Amino acid sequence: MRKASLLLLAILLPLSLYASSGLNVGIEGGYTMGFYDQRGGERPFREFSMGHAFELAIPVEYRVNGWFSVASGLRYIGKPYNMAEDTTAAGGFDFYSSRNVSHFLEVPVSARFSLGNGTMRGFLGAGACIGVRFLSTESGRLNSQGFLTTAGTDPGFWGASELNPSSDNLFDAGLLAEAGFGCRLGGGELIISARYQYSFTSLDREYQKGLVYRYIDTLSVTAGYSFSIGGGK
Amino acid sequence: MIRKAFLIAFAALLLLSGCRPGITMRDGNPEITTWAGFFSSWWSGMNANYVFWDLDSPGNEWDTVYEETLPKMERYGVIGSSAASDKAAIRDLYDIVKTLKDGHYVLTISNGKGITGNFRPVYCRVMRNAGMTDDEIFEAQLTPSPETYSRLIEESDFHSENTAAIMERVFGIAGASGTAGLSRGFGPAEGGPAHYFSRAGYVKTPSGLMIGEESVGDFSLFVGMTDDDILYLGFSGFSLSAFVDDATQNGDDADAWSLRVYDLVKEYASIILDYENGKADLGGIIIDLRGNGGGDPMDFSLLWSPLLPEDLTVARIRIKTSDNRLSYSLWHDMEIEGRSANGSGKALKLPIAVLVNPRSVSCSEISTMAFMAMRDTYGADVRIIGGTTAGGNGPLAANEILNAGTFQVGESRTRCAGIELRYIDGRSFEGIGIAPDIPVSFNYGSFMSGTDARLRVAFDSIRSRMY
Repeated sequence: MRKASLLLLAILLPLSLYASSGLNVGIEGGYTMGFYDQRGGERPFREFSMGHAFELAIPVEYRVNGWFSVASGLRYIGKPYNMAEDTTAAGGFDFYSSRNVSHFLEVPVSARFSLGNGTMRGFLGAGACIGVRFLSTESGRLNSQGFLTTAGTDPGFWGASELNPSSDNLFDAGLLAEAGFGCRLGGGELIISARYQYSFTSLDREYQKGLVYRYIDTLSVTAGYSFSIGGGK
Repeated sequence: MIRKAFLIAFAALLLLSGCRPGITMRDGNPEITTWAGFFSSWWSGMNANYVFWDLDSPGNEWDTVYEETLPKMERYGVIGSSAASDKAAIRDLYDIVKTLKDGHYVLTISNGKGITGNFRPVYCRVMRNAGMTDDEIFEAQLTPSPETYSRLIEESDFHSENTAAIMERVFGIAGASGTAGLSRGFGPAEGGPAHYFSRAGYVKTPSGLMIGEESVGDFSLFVGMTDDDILYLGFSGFSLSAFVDDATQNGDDADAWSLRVYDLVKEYASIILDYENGKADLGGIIIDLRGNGGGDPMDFSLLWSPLLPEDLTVARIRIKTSDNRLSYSLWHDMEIEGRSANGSGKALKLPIAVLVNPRSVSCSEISTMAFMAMRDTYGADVRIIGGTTAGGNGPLAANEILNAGTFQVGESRTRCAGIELRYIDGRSFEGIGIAPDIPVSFNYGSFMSGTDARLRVAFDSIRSRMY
């Protein structure tokens, strides 16, 4: 309930800004790299590596004045990581490799500091975000031929993981830092930005003693276009 | 101003990044001196390597085990310091593992001074079903080697009903059971099909062999046909691939055992092939998995592929993806290659009986699922007959491959499955076993005197569907 209230508050905040003037609204999309961080539980033949996904957002930016603005919006982001169980280096075989993506709807809020003129600006920002995981997907390759089966069917797979509310953390919160560049184009502004999100919430809930905390941080490169719908600042 | 604000934000980010917990590494093989130290390491190893937590700890029961047991282990002190404390500690461990679902599970634990336990939940279940008390079960799995059993377990189908005993007691091969008897009486040195099957009412044209060589282990295989063309196949374990590989790769230089097993496997496959090609009659098939302890799933290709018109999903499997208890991969199909003649699957239209008992485990149970899948997928006329299987079907594999399964803590070894497996409809038989469609009780006295009620029911079942 508390998490739902926080999420509601975060959604209402940009809406309240919308009620003010100086508001830019747009659409934004980009590429996301995921960095998996596991606090223990390392195995010699279980490897994690950077994953690739994408994001889409409806960004909202309230321009308080020429150099300061508050950015928010609603964003879908896939937080990816890759995993492989591979003993090839020890004379074994590549048993399992997978690309895991946790799909979130999140609300970021950041303070942006801009430098520029009426045509161009650069900005730096920092803030926080909260989100809800609504889906997890896994795709990859299970190499069981010669190990569990002689069947030569396609080892590739793709599917949605069953989210377990008692063990999977469906809530996400973290910090973000961003840098970008905007230029006036047509009636709106084209924005290219990069954003790093650092997660505070493990993929797993605290359901067991000795839990290995697991996080996915992301680095996103996005492009978007926004237009002014308020006071035109 | 902008730079100042950004620096503050960056500093805040750095500070808050310390909010994540530190990295805790599990000591893979710590020096164990106390019962508390052993218990903590073993309990953590179970967290990381055991795969059936969705069945054994759905409500976080495993944490409760830790909280209740650790104080007791702390009181037991140093391992080997007191026989009474050591036995109490080992008893506590037995009480923890005796109800685990994993049918492959074995906890081997010793105080280094003569008290050793080999605790198998599947044995516990069988002994409990046989009427033994908890104390008796504990003592039966304690120090003596080989393990001793009460008369209750000795006379159970788990202990008595297996391929070698069936060949000896039912088919009349004198002196077959027991390693010495096996190697003496039916080694391949005598060559050719065995001619000693006096009770031919069960099977005619019998072919079989039994191996009791130390280098190979006990292995029995039997192929036969009845007068009315019912094919019978019974074997003690899924180790055919190793023999066949030896025979096919080394030819005449292969072990005599391998060449003979290869002949029998070819004989079995040719009976099915000839039927599918219309060259011979076949009235039904009996697959006898009683006492079959499992082995290599590669054998499925030798045995079941000739029946299948196409690759068939027989089970679903998943692995652990982190050291947390409930971190699992997706469920994946486990398939058996289809290789029936002309892709016809003609043999699946025959009445089929699969005989099982509480010692049918692992690949035996996956095979039973394969026949269930043939029924559920193709409408094959399959009946499972006998007693409920062991309930241990999660595949075993090296820890290095799966990063799960069997692990070591000090001198103690924990053997457990590394993959969770379920039937294609999502049902788990782990720790439960597969109940037969036609249950037939086991009577020790009758069996030992040569009356195999379960085999009789299998023949009756086939014949009632043939005519």
